[in-house]
Amino acid sequence: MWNIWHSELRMTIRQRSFYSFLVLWVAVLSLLFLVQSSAPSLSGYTNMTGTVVNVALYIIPLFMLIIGSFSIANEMENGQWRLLNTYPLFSMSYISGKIGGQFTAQAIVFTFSYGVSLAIGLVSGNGFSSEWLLSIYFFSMSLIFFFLVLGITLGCIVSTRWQALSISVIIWFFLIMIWPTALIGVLGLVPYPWIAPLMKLALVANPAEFIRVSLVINLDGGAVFGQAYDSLVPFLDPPYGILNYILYFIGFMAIMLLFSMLMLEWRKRR
Amino acid sequence: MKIMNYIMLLLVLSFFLPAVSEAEGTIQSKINEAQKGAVIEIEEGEYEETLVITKPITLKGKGEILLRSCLSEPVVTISGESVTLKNIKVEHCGDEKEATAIYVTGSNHKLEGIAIETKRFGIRLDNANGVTIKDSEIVGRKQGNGIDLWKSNQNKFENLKINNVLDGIYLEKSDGNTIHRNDIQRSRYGLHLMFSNENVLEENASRANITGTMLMESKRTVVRNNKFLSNNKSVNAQGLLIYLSTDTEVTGNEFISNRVGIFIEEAENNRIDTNKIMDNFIGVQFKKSNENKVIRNTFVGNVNDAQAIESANNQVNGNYWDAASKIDVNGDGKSEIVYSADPYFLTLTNAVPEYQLFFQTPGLILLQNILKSPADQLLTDSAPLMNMTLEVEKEKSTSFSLWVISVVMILSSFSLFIFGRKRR
Repeated sequence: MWNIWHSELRMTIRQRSFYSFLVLWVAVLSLLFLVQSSAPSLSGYTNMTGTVVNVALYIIPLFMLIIGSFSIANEMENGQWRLLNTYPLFSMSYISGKIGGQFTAQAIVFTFSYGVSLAIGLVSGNGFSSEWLLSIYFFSMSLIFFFLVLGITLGCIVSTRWQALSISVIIWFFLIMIWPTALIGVLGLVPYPWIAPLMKLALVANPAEFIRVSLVINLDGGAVFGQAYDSLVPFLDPPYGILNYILYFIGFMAIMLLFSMLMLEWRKRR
Repeated sequence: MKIMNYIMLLLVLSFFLPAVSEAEGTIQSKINEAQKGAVIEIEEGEYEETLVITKPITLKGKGEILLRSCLSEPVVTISGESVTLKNIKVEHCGDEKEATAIYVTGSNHKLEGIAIETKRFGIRLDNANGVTIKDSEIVGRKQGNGIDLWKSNQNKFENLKINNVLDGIYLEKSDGNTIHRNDIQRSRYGLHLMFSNENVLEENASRANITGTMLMESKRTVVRNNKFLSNNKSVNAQGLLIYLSTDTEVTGNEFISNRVGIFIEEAENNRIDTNKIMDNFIGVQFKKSNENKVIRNTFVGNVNDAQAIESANNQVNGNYWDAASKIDVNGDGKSEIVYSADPYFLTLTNAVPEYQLFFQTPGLILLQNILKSPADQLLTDSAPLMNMTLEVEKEKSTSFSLWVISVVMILSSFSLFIFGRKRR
């Protein structure tokens, strides 16, 4: 597993596209920090925070899905995976190595860009609240992680990179863009008392929503979700929130790992 | 012999003791003996008794005075005229439903420098007029109001700190009172007016309450230069709630970081003029309210600036909105682009409150176009201002810790990067 982890990390870091991500994040984050600086207040959830969060939600999941699914689909396509199978290698360590290496690489480039953009923001004379900054950072890191895992699971299912790309975009479009519309459409068909539990279920089913709601609650905005979630808000508010977040993380990981492992095992047998 | 001595001593003591205690006296006995207009000074110490004052005298504490009682009656009962109470700490530990620390009726009393700790009510004014309460503190247990007025007019409350009570200052059927420079925190409602007219609320701060101030069925209230901060912990939280009230004048206030800055429900003819409405989740919200005026306000950093349902005939003009796209062609300081707030989200969540979870979700932009409300339901500012009407000062932050964060991020990622590139 550590071999896979290290080789994945090295391969990703040595790719030229890796540096294009550096440019992308620096550009986007610096812009967001400049936008935030025009807001008079630094902490709490304001319309600027909303904008920053929404931009992150548009761009991070899409890229992570594509990167994650490509990293496996690529090896499937060029036969590297078949070659690897000639060694006594567990699917489990293959996948977790892939996730670990890819996440480390993406975390490096994102953290680096975040630091650089922050420095750019500070040099141009803007102020930030460190609590706000760290909240946004951990929010983005969670998005990177969850969608990388999702992408890698997707990579285990598809057989070509072209498939990986199109399905990634479909998942992104469904989970991010059309999610509320789709939910409202579906929930319009069910009896009224079902709506509340189904909404909570949907919240857990979509990691993007779960992370976003956690962030809003973390920035003291839990009351905005209304009476219906009065019992849910303390669940996601620190300190219990952190525990539940970790539990969610473990649950999500377990399901995704199990699924992708089964997929790979099934493929090996074919 | 020793025993004999002891008994003798006791005998002597018992002979003198009543006389001594009479001379020292309870505070009540001093009050009973005092002439009209007398000034009674209380020596430092703790007193476990209840007082009833019915004539115009002054009761003044010298040093630290604590009056304490757990009986069902109030610790201090004031009636008649012109009673003055100064520098006294009052603790009521009774837990009856109506337990009150200080009960006031009559007129022209003065309470100054009073510190109250109560399990239920702090001060109750019952048919009391012209009473002044200032420079005092009330701490409760969220089971009774800090100051409770019933049919009491022309009273004045100044520089009070009220903490952890049900309603900070509660007025019912009480007119013409002045509430000035008070600070109310962590309570249910900061100021709560019911069926009370012509009251003036000025320069108060109401923070971290469920509702900063609630006006209900009250007329001609003046709300001027107050601060409503961080009233955002409850799902029903808001800075100012105007409910079934008319002719309210709201000017020069700050509404910052509330769930809803100003909520106007079934209220008419109110005027919201030159306020600073900042960083709220919803700046101004109308519900079934008409003929209100919202003018010359500064809206900055609100997640949603304004929303209205079933409220078409309000005049919302000449405000500054930081979210509006502005262009001034003829140089009159007003933008030529109409700014309108679409209540689609409120309309959606009104039908199914569970959908509030979609608040600010990225996919909402798609939904917004689908659910677009008809033009007559929009809240529209036909002439948004180009410049703010009130100064908004920028928060400052220490950049040192931010530089540390930045450098740590760059260094740690860079060293991981070097480690990753290395061949084994």
